[in-house]
Amino acid sequence: MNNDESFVFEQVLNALDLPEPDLVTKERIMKAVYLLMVAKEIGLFHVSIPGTLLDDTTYE
Amino acid sequence: MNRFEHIDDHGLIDLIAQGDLDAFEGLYDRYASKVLKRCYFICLNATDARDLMQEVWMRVFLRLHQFQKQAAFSTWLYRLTTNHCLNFIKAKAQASNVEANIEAISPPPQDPTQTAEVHHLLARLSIEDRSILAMKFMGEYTYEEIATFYGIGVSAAKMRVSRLIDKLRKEVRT
Repeated sequence: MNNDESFVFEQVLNALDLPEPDLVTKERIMKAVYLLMVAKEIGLFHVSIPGTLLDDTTYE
Repeated sequence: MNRFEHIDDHGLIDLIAQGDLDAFEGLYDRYASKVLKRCYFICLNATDARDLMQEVWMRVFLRLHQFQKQAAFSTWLYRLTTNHCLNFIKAKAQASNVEANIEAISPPPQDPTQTAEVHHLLARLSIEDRSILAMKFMGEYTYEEIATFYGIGVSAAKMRVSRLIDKLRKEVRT
């Protein structure tokens, strides 16, 4: 990849000057991940995850 | 002090595989901001970007076992982010039959000059242009893959990326 072009792209992302992700979002994610982990451990994984979560490995 | 500060990404992934949720938090802390920026770049909407970021991290957790460690974790993460966001805007555009939700763009107030200009420049780019940039610089797709995806020649794909980068370069240097 062209390093100069990548550098410009990173500069653009930085220039957006977005606020840092908030703590509420982080807590929500961590809670969800915890529940996923528990579901996985007790064998509910396959019924607890909506199908839409499983089909985004590629951009179609 | 962050107890994961001196553990690299692959080390954190090993800990997560052993059920260490704190390690997942460590990974999140390391990359959340970068993922959020990338989500925002594609959707240009702060609320959507936050929601997409949450979904990305769910997927990271669900798919982490598929990560082969042959490449950098960041490469895998940003590819996943890119694919998820592009699928989102494609579905959204199809649902509403519009190209972008430009009204929702709200540049942060800290820098009224360059920051606002960059937001407006991105908003003026088409979804396809932003998608091409995201595929190239976030998803690290090759020119050949981009060309195939959009049904254009490889040289046309290179030219388009180069032209878009030139536009962006002018904006971030002014």
